[in-house]
Amino acid sequence: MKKCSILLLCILIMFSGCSNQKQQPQQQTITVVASFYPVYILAKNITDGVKGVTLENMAQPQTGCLHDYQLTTKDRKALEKADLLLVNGAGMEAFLEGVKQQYKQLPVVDTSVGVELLDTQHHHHHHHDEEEHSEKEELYNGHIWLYSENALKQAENICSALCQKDSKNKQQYIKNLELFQQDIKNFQTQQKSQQTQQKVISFHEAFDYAAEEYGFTICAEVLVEEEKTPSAKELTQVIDLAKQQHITIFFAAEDEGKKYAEIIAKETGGKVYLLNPITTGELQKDAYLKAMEQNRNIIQEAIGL
Amino acid sequence: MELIYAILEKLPFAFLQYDFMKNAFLAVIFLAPLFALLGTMAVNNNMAFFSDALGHSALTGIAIGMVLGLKQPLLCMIAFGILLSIAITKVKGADMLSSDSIISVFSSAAMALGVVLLSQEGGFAKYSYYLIGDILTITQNDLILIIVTLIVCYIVWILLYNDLLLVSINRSFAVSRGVNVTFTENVFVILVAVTVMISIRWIGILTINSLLILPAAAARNISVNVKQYHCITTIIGCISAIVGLVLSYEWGTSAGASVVLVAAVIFFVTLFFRKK
Repeated sequence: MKKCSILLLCILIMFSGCSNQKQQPQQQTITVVASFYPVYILAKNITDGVKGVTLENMAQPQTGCLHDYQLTTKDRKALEKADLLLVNGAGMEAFLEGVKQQYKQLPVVDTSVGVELLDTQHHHHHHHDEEEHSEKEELYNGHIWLYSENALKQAENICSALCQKDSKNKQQYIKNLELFQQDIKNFQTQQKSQQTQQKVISFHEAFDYAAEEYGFTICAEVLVEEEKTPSAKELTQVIDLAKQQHITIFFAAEDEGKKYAEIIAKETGGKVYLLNPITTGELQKDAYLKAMEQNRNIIQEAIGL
Repeated sequence: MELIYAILEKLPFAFLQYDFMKNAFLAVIFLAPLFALLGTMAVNNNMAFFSDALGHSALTGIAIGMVLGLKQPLLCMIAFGILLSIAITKVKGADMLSSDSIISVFSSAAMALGVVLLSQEGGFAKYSYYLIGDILTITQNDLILIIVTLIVCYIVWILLYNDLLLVSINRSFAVSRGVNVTFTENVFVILVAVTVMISIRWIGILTINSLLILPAAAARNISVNVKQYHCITTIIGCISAIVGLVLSYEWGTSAGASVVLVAAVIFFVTLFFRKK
C-alpha cells in the first residue's frame, strides 16, 4: 500500500512537471494549424517571416484529399495546442463537425468564404456566403484552390483571420498578402489571353477549377472515390462519347483515376496528361505557384496553345 | 493477342467491342479455373477460414510495401502471404489450439498490423479500393501473369495431386503411406497465398474468399466422385464468372461482388439437388 502511494505520488509529480514545462512558451507564440496541404502552403505565404507564429500542417502531406480522412492521435495533439484552425471549407473537411464539437474554444476559419463554388455534378456557379453553411456543402466541389482567383481569396481570408488573432503583426501579414497578390497577378496575366474551348475528359474532381482558369471544357468526368469505382457501363459511355466528339485529351492525377484514364486513352487513341491536384507536395511557400505553373505548362502542351 | 481479341468480338456480347472488357472477360475466364482448382482442396481440407485470413492479410502486405516505399506492393503482399500461411500451418501442426482459433489469431494480428501501418498517415481510406477491387483495370501484362500462375498451379497440382488427396483424407494415413505431409501442406498454402495476392487487386479483399470457396462448395453438393468434383467446380466457376461479369456490366455494379452473388445462387440451387 505504501509503495503504491509513493508510486502514485511520483507519477503525479512527473505529470505536473510535464504540463508546467509546456505552458510557458505557449504564451508568447500563437500556433496556427492548417487542415491540409493546399491550405498550409497558402497560409505559409501569409505567415512567412512573421515572428511568434508557428504554422502546422495537420494531415500528413501524403494524405491527399480529405474526403474520408480520420483524425490520428497526432492530429489531435496538434489541435490541442492550436490557437487557430484554418480549413479549406466547402465540404472538404468531413471531420470538421466532430472537431468543432470537441474543441469548442478553437476558432475555425473557413477560407472558402466568398469563393465561387462549382457544383460537383454540373458546372454551375454558386456564390458562397457565410449563411449558406449547411448540409448542402456536399453538393459543391471543394477543390477550390486550383483556380488562382480562389486561392487568392483564400489567402485574403487567412490574412484577415491572422490579423484579428495576432494584431501586433498585422502590418507584416498585410505586406505578405500583397506580395502573394502580386505573384498571383503575374501568374494570371501570363495566360489570361489564352482561353480555349478545347474539349477534354477529366479523371479528378479538382480539375473543374482548372477548367475555370484555362477555359477548357470538361465533357465527361470519370471519378474514382474511396467507396466507388467507375462501372463498366460508365466507362463504355465515356469511350463512346470520346470517339463521337473526337476528344483526345485526358486529364488525370497520379492516383487510381490514372488507370481508368489509361484504359480509355488506349481504347480511343487519346493521350493521358498528368496534372497536379496540389493536395500533396513540399511544404514550401512557393510550392503553390510552382505547381500551378507546372500544370499550366502541361495544359498548354495538351491543348496546343 | 490480336487473334484472341478477334475471336472474342465474334461472341454475342455487346460489351466485347471494348478492349478493357475483353481483358476483364479473359481474366475471369482464367481466374475461374485457377480458383476452382485451389477451392476444391481448400473445401476438402476445411480451410475456408484460412483463405479468408489470407485475403485479409493482403492489406498488411500493402502496408508493408508502402512503408518500404514500393510503388507496386505485389511482391511484398506475396511474401507476407507466404510467410503468414506457413506460420499458420506450422502453429496448426503443433496442435495447441483448434485451427479456427489459430487462424483467427493470425488473421486479426495481421489485419491490425495492416491498419496500424496504413492509418499512420491517416490515409486508410486511400487503400479502401482494395476492399472491393476492380477487374476492369486489368491490363495485358496482368493477364499474362494470371495465365502463368494458372499453368504453374496446374503443374504443381498434377505432381502433388495424390499426396494432397491423401493428406486431405487423413494426415496419419498419409504419413503411413510415406507422404511428406508438412511439405505438401506448405506447397499448397503457398499456391493459395500467391493466387490470392495476385488477384486481390481485381477481386477485392472482401469477396476473394467466396470466389475460392463457393464454386467448390456448390460442386461438392452434387458431385459423386473426385473427378466430377473438379470438373463441376471449374464449370461453376466459369459460369458464375461470365454471368457475374455480364450482370455487373448491365447493372453497373462491382464485378467481383456480382460474380460471388451468382456463385452463391448456384450454391443454393445445388443444395436442392444434393447427392446423399
